[in-house]
Amino acid sequence: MSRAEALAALKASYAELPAGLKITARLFEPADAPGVARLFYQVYGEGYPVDDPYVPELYIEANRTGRIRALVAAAPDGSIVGQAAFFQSSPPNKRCYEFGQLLVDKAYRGSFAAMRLYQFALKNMFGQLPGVDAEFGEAVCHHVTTQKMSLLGGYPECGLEVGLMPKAAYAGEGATGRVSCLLQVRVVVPGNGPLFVPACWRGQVEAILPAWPLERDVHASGPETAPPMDLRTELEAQHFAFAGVTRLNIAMPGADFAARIKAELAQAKELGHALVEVFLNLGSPWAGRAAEDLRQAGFFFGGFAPLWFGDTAPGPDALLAQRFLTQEVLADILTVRESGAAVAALVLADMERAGREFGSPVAVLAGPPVKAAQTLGDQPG
Amino acid sequence: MSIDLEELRRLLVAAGVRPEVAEKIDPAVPLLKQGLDSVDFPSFCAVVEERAGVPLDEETALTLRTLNDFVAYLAGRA
Repeated sequence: MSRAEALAALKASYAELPAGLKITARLFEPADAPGVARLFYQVYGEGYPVDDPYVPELYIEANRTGRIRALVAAAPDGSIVGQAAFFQSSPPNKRCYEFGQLLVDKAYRGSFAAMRLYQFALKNMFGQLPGVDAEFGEAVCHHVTTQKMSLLGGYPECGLEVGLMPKAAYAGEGATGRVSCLLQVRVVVPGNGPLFVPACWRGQVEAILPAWPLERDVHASGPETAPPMDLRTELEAQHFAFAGVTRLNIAMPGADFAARIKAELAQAKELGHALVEVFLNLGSPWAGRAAEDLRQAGFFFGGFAPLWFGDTAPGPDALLAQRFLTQEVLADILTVRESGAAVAALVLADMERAGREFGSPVAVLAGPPVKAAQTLGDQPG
Repeated sequence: MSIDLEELRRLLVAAGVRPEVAEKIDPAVPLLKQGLDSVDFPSFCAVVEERAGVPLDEETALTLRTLNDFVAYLAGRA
């Protein structure tokens, strides 16, 4: 069945679920696929950019092969009220899974469905899935609900993807500008490879590293160590038109790195994108040179992503660098914990630095500065 | 199973509520007025459900507003 056929069938058969069904969270089963398709159709209409959830046989196959590992909130009659998933996404390390795609039927938004999914994942999935080196989430920062859930799952904060999502994606939630996402990574299999820490962002990397007990063979990596002249850059580009984001995975920076980045920036600009993200392999001895090239090109530090790379073994890790192509306005950046606020602050400080030093466009907060969400514990007395 | 206030405070922390918040919770005042939100409360209910071995559906959970309500409910199910 094609996407178009699946969408036509969904449109013809669509029905709302009755409210008040008793819900149980459990692993996805093939019989759930039509219910998952209905849920995606209800939440995203025909606009979800990936075919799998709409086409039951594709979703079943993706779960069978382990590309997606979904869980569902189901009623006794088999109705699917919610779903979430671990899935292979941007990282070149296919054992580094993203956790997300949390959808809840509109009639159950005020229910415990989302938390039942999280509790199930907490008990049965987080850190326990076979063949998984790391799990990560990108939690929106204009509210703290997703972050709280990620923290329950043991995902420490390690980066801020400044203005990753367009305002329009969260218009219904009152976002006042582009929405930033906190990068949170849970390390499952730490690995033990080399880590070349770029001199220009050493302080930021060292501030985040203690979030996990990583055993790394750490090397300082300065701009003076250039790659061999005949070494070509290994670069994979992903273009997210809806978000206006270009994401680059640099598996190996070569002698042509600065020129390749310049070309990618030009292409992103041509595409009308707002933001370019670079994930740089810190297992490369030339990471320091490449980071300096990025800095000179107006990039700023975005985060440290353990185990982002890796073909046959866990790791290496990645450094996230970012650059805006146009001046942007940001929605509020709220974090649950002071540790999240600290990560956000060091990223935003470096963005300001890039603006001052290289005239790079910067994003401006529409509201107050970054602050950990206030709770009773923060109140005096 | 009977669960006392101190155990409920420990379960609040297990549900993701910060210890300093859990410690200050007044057992007679609704949890949602003391810093718990739409993530904390269902998470707490799920942890209580597991610890007590008592199913806690949403309809029931929403009638339990304070820690004292939880103590009384769980004592009644003992």
